[in-house]
Amino acid sequence: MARLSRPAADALGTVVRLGLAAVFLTSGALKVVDPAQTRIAVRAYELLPAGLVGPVATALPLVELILGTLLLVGVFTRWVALGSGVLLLVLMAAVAQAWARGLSIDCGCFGGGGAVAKGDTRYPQELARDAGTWLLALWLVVRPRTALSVDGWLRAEPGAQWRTAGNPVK
Amino acid sequence: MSKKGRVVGSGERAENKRKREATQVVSAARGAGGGNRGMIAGIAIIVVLAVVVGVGLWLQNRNKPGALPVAIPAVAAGVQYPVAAQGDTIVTGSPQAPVTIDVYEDFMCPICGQFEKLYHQRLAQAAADGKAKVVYHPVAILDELSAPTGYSTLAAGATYCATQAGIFPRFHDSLYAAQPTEGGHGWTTAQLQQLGRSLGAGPAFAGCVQAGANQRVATATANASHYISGLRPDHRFGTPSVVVNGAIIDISDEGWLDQALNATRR
Repeated sequence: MARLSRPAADALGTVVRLGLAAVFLTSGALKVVDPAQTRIAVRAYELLPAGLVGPVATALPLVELILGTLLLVGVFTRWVALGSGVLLLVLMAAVAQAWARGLSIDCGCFGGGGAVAKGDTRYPQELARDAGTWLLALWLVVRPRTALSVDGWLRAEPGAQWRTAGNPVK
Repeated sequence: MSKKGRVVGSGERAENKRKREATQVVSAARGAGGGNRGMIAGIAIIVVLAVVVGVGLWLQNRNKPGALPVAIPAVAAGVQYPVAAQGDTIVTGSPQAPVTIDVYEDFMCPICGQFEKLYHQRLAQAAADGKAKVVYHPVAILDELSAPTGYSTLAAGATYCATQAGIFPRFHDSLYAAQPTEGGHGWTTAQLQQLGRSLGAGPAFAGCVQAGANQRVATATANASHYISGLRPDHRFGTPSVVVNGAIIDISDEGWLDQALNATRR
């Protein structure tokens, strides 16, 4: 397999990072503006006890917005991408269990969510989309170096100690 | 990036180390030099995240509904049909009707609201014409979806009071016509009492609503859950559930009511 030159890989990584940021910022924003709907969406998975539905529905969009913001500016990219990947795995597991148990719900991944009619579920598409997003996160875990990032700005500081943080200088 | 198999002698290693140390000394001498960007970035990121979380929390809380300010609008009287309380259910129509339709509803459930919109007139007509015995089972499974919690139980309990007071049809229909949104405020005890008064309930009604029927509703809900989940292949209970002559019905098939009413003509 042909290896990309470093500038090309950095540029591709930047696109990946900004794409992942856009996904989280969009999904977080759509949830945060409609907290009642988000509660319904979380509740529909029938995973959490009643007392935890509210806190999770409040926290999930905020976590998505935080991850999206950190990815947008490109700081701690590897660790943020790792966190994103873990979150996506948890969400995919939740969708998969809903599918396996025969629930009829919309995943509410980008707002909306809750019960839908039997024939209106879209589990395969939802899981495929999440898996695609997960691959973006995986790229950044494996190769967190991107252009236009705070990480890069820190790395470029004269005499900086940052260069060892996940970005070994070659 | 060429990695030639170069042997680094101990003298060279010491030389490299000296160079590294010199660099560190230089950057330390610059004072503000090393680590400055890290500090700037750290502070900026903390500020940005604080703003993001702050705006997020504000967005989530901006529409926390206050108490619904108005009285519950009473719907106009529809067709008349017999109503009788029976256990934890409200039986409408003739007990001798050829078809029995059991309806399990939660006053907070939006799909129940849609179901009522679509079918309540035809169910009332069927009860009035003696074609069907329509049995209402008020249950409470969505108590935590109102703020404060408990509207489902409160409304279900008030339905028993309304049945006693002889105002079940309009009380029930009014609550579905003015259904609170999920996650929002439910109607309050005072508003339910007011609705009853405006529909002509006697003086006992307000006290009955005030006393509540939490235990009765909880028992009715548990019984309904047991019964319905036993009928369904997936062993689940949700609202609305409709049972026709003892068989669970898929109400997403819109012809279910015609089929139920016509089955007897055969």
